[in-house]
This record gives sequence, C-alpha cells and structure tokens, in this order.
Amino acid sequence: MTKQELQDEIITKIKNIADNQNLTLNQEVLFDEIDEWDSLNTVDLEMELESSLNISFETGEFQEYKTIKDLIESIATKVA
Amino acid sequence: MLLGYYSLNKLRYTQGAKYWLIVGSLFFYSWWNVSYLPLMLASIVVNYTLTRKMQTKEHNKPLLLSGLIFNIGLLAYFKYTDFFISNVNLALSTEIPLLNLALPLAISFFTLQQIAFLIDSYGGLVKEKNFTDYTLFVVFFPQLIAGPIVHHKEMMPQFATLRGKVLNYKNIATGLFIFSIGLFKKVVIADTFATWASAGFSVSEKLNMLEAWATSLSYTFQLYFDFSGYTDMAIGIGLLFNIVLPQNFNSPYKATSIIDFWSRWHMTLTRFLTTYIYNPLVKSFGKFSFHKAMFATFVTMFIAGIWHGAAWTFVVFGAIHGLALVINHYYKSKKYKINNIFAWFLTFNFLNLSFVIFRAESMGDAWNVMKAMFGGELVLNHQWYDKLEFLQDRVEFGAWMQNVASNEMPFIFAIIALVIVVFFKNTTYMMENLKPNFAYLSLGILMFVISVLKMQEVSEFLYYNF
Repeated sequence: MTKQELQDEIITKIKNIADNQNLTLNQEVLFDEIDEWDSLNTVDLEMELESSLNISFETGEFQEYKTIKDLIESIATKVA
Repeated sequence: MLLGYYSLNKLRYTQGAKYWLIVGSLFFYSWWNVSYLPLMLASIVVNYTLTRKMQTKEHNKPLLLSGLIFNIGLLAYFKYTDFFISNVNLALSTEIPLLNLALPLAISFFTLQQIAFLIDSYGGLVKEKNFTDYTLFVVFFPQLIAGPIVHHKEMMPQFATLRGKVLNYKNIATGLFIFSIGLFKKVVIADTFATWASAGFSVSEKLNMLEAWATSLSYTFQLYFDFSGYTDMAIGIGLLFNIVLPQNFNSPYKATSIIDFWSRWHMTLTRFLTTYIYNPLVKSFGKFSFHKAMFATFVTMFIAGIWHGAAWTFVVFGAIHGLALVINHYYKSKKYKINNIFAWFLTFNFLNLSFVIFRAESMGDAWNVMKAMFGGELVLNHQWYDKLEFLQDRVEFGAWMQNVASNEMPFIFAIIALVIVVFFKNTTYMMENLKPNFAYLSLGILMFVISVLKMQEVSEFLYYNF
C-alpha cells in the first residue's frame, strides 16, 4: 500500500466515522480541528485501522499523532 | 532559583544546573510538607528502576503489572483506606478504627505522571536512561504539586536543547506576565468568591433561593479561577526556565456541551484518562461498538470522580458527569442540533449544579443547597421595597443575602466573572500573542501588585487536596 492509498483510506474512514462526507481533509489537518471530532471517534478510528491493516498501536501511541500525516508516517513503519 | 539555574548553565555546569533545579524543587515540596518527601523519592526510585528494566525487553507484563500495583496501591492506601473502612463500618456496623492518614502532598499528580511514563515505557514509546533527568521530570517544581500532568516526551527534550539553557528575555517577559495573570486570578478573583462560597456552604440548611444561587455560582467561579490561576502560574514559572508546559484550560465555561467541556477543563487530566483508561478499556472489549464505548465513558468518568477524593460526593460527581457524557454522545450520534446559546446555558447550569456536589461536605449539604436553589424562599433586599412594592404579596423583603455576604457583591462579581469567562480570550491565547510592550507590562505589574496587596490573607490552593 502506498502512502497515497493509505491517506485516502484514512480520510475515508474519518469521514465515515464522523458521519460527515463534507469534511475537507488533507495531511496537514490537525485531528483537533476536525469538526465535532472527539475521543470516541479517535478510538473508533484506531480500532478500525488496527483491524483493516492488521497492525497494532501501543497504549498512548495513537494520542501522539496530531495530524493525518503523523499517522501515515507511523503506519508506514508498521506495515513495512 | 532562576539565577542559579542560568549561572550554572552559563558556566557550562549543565548537569549542575539540573541538580540545582531538583534540589530547589525538593525544597519547594518540603516547604509545604516535609514528612512525605521520602515517600515521593521512594516512588521515583521504584518507578525509575522498573522502567529502566523495561528498556531491555519491551512488553514485559510482569513489570508493568507490578508498577501499576505499586502506584495505584500507594494512591489507594493513602487516599482511600479510611473511606473504605468507614463504609465497611457503616454497612456491617463494625468499629474498625480509622488510620487517619494525611494525604501526601501531590501524590495524585506525581503518581499519574509516573503511571503514564510506565505505560509508555512498556510499549517502548519513551526511554529515559538518566536518573537525574527522570527525577527532574517528576519533581520539576512548577508542575509538581497540582499539574499540569506532563508527558516525559513533551518536557524533557526541552531541557536538553541548548537554547533552553540561555536566558530568553521574551520568555521571561511572557512568563512573568502569565504568572501575574495566574496570581491575580487566584488571589484576587478566586479567593474573593471563596469567602462567599464557604459562608454559604457552611450554613447550607439556612439558605434562601438567591443565597443558594450566590453560593453555587461563587464556587463555580472560585474553582475555575483558582485552578486555572494555579496552572497559569505554573506555566509562567515554567517559561522562566524556557520550559513550555502543556495547556490545561481552554476557556472551559464557553463549552456548549459536556463533551466540549471535558476537552477544555483540566485538559491534561482528560488526556490521561482518555489515553490510559478509556482507550485501553474500549479496546479490551473486542470489536468497537457505540454501546461498549459508552460503558467505557461512564466507567472512566466514575474513576475520574473518585480520583478527586475519597467521598460519596466525588463518586456521585463522577457518575453524573459520566451519565451526562453518555447522553451527550447519544444525541450527538443522532445529529440532534440545538441552539448554541441554549446549549451553552444548559451546559453551564449543569456544571454549576454538579459543582455543588463537588464542593459540598456531604450529599446532605449538596441536597440542601440544590433544594434552596429551586424551591427555597425568595427573599428580596428590603432596600428594593420602594421600587418593587407591587411584589409584596408574592415575595418577602428582608435579609436576602446575609448568610453569604453583607451586600449584593456576589451577584455583581458573578456577572463580571461570567463576562470574563465567556467573552474574553484565555491565558494561552495571550501567551501566544503577547507583544512585549508598555501596555502588557503595566497590566502585568498592576495585576501583580494588587495580588500581592491582597495576599495578606494566606489561602490554600483547592487542587492541593486532590
């Protein structure tokens, strides 16, 4: 999976979880800035990614990611 | 402190500068209460030893478990033993004597900070190979007593940079300004509200309706200005040492929902709870579902309530906030939209009521205050009789505020405070946008001087007790 595919997948998941297809998202967007995004959505996204990509995040790891880019970088090292 | 730190750094004794900070911090701790210094040091040594061992092998479950048992055990022993014994006594009509342990200063904070570090070490997210640095991470005095609860990875790299070791005048100016705001919030605003809140809560059974509202609002404002004032002072002092501590409050009384509130109030505690309790809990339930997550939300808030103290009032406080969050998530998931102003009004009043429980000595006292707020006698100031005479059949005129204050100041202050918390920018914004100019300087000095003048009445920080 390329980084671009990864990015697309993450963005699709975020839109589905937030139940809002109108979000404009790119790599630089902070999770904190996503409209109505909360801790419930965060853990949902974390678990979705874990099961679909067959990876796992350490406790405390997911909260370190401030942007989608941070997340992509980290996942890239996990699936590599 | 400051002079020593920068002088030692200037002389290239960077290690010496760290020792200096540690000794200063321990002195600061001992100045409040020396008797628990050995306990804190023991906690540091045990945690450091455990995390050091974890570095040789990640995911070492036995080490993690022993660490968690040690930290939680320590907290539980000092904080909850007597609460447990007294409830057992009540339930079983036994008379087991209480231990009457005093709560070691800052234990709730240094324990959480180290638990976070322990769990991060377990997953290999942090590594600290230097005992001096680890000690500094725990005891650095601005954040030691009542937070913000700092992550190792956000603070320690700052001590390592070269820039951090030289005096930075912008940081000094900003730090002093932020410190002055904090001092003013605490000494002038919070302590003024405190006198009314204390007066009201001490005679909760006698309050009339307006007195009860004055009492509860006074406490709601006292709590915010006290704790966020303390945090500002911590952040300000941190800046003097070129250390940026994490934001802990983001205008919480502007919140338009309970979810929103907890992302703005005591943010480093919320972060701890979400990261180390809520998330692992949700993940432990297997496949994600909304209802499982809601259960985890409730449990997390319940624990948050108990963390604040060993009393039924805190248990209830945690439970109702847990419940409120669940309801909030439920209607959010249904995409119900309510008017923003109405949403704010609901949120603020919910908070105000829940803080009555938080503050009250017992559920009985809390009930007294709430009963008076909604069903108490409406008594108006007798001085208003001339103008409001037409109301005389419905309400009583007379001693309308005497259980709380000698005049109408609680309401005037409450209105001013409300305007400040709802419409003003917060300290973090000022910190990021501060221009070192004459206006800021005068404002800072003014707040500092007023605070110092008012400080003749020494008072305690509320969050020292948690």
